[in-house]
Order: sequence, then structure tokens, then C-alpha cells
Amino acid sequence: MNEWMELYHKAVETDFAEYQAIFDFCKTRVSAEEGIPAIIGLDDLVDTSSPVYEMSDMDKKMHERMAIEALLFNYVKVRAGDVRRKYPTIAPSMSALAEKLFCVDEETGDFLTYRQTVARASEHE
Amino acid sequence: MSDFLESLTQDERTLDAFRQLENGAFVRVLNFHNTAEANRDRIYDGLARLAEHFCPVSVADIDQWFLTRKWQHDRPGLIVSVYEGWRCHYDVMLDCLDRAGLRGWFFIPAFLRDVPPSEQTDFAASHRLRRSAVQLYADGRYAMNAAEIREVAKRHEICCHTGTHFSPEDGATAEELEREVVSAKAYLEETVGRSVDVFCWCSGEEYGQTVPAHPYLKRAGYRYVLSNTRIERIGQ
Repeated sequence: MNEWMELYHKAVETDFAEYQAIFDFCKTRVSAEEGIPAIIGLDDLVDTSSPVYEMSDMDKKMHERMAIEALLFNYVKVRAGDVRRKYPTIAPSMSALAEKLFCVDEETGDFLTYRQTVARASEHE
Repeated sequence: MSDFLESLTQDERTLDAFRQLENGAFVRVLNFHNTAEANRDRIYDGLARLAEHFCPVSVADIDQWFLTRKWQHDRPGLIVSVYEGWRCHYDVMLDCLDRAGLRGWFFIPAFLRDVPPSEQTDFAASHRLRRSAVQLYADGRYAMNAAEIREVAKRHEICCHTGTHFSPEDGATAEELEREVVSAKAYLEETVGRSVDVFCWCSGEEYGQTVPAHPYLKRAGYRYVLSNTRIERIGQ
């Protein structure tokens, strides 16, 4: 809960500027010609007995942070009135989330953005 | 704070996503549409870097994940989704994926390859297929042919993207659903000689958004529907 409130208040202090900046960047992507990252959920409609899945070690380090950040991105979309039933606000939010938090640097433990992940090592050192 | 809390409940899919991230029920995807020759090096470089952090994902991996509720590999998985069945996917993306060691999920409108080359550009425009403005083919053939699809299928997943890049958003007749869901699957399976288990609508609609299509998806025998927000297991 502490991390949750800390991230929320930090976002409020800047009026969610960091989140809006990532959405603005996402709009500049050319989805017809480049790879667009996103994160999608797993939903088992056949066996609903357990919604909990055992993750990779990397995901164990970042999934809780990702869950919080997804809601913060979603809030920015809802606040802007960009709400459509067919394409829910959480969908672009999960793509923005992928831009911000894509993996963990195994050496430093830092979270890497998608752009940092695909950049050559020399570009993000 | 009240505005924020209200934003969580405007659409149930918001809290679904939160729950899935909390529960480890998520996977990264990288969505491609066109993969032009001019972008070959950039695409390969990006995939090669990603392969340092992620492992390829097959439909069999997804089967195991749902069955055991445990991801079976040390690194998390990355699904590389390649949409529309374009010829540049065979010419460029196949090589990039193979060299990088990642697995593509090729979402192909089953009947696109039967459109005569001279009509494929117009067909693309009228069926919301985003054809590359960069990659041009002098003979007018932009869709993969059957032999190219079979070659892709040797090492990657072939998934059904309806028959003609169809969306049921404005309603669909029984005849359209039969063609776009059931016949499309059979045609792709006949092409590649194996089961096609994953379906995706033109606009990435979720299973729950397409209730009239449910009997057709079930009867066709799809096991997964991939959408903008999730991969849903609908059959065993």
C-alpha cells in the first residue's frame, strides 16, 4: 500500500505529466510500420478455479508495480474523456505501461522501458 | 482521489487488468502490421535485443500455462504478433524472427490470398487492411500465397484473423459468421495441414463483445481468442 500511495501522490504532484508524456509519445508511433509493445491478460473461461499464475523471476520483481502503474495510466485516459466501449481505456494504458516498464535489467535490477530494452547496449548505458 | 477511484469502475476491464497483473496472469506482446524491407535491420536488431530478455512463446506454452498455472521457462515470454498476412512478412519478418530466435504468431485473413493481385490494393482499402506505404511490389501481390504461409507455419504459429478481416461490430449475419469464423479456420487448416487454434477479430474485439459469434467459435473448435486486452481460453 505504501508504494501504491507514493506513486499516486507523486503522479498527482505533477498532474500526471509523466503518464501524459508517454501517451503523447505513443501517438507518434507508426503502428502500420513498427512493432508496438503491449501487455495482455490471461483469462481462462474453461477453468475458472484459480486466477493465480506462477510467474518468471523477472515478473515477480515487477508485476505489482505494473499493476499500480496500469491504473494510473488508465486514470489519465478516463480523465481526458477518451472512453470507448469497443476499445477500453485500459488497452492503450497497457501499451503505455509496456513503454514505461518492459523488463528488469538483470545486472542493476532497474526497470527498463521498452525503448531501452530494444536499444543497443551502448545506447542505454 | 475520488475521481481516481471512480476511474477504476467505469469499465470492468480496468480492474480485470489490475487483477491479472497482480496474479501473474499476463504476457507481453509486440504487434506488427507491415514489416518492410527498408526496416529489416531495425526490426531484427530490436527482436535480437528482446530475445536477450524474453523467450519465444508457442501455443503449446500457453496450453501448459493455463493447465499448470505455472510459466514453464526461466525468462518471461514474448508473443510477437504479426497481423494481416502480408507478403512482406514472409520476405522480411520470417527471417528476422528466425535469426532472433523468437516465435511469431501470424494472424492471417484466410481468404486474402485468393484476391487477385490486381485487386489486392483496393481490397485492403475496403477491408481496413493497412498495407505498407513503404514496401511496394511491382506485380501487385501483397498477400502471402499458400506456399509462403506453409513455410511460415513450419516454425511459427498460424492464427485466424477471420476470413476477410471482418469485424462483427455492426452486426453479422449467420452466413457471415459461418464464413468468417468457421470456413476461414478450415481453409487455413487445409493450407497448413494442422490445427489452427487461435482466433482474432479484425478490431481485436474480446470474446465477451461478440456473443452472437460464440456458437460459431465453439463449433469451429478454436481454443483461444486473442483481443486488445487479453488472451482468452474458450475451449480445451
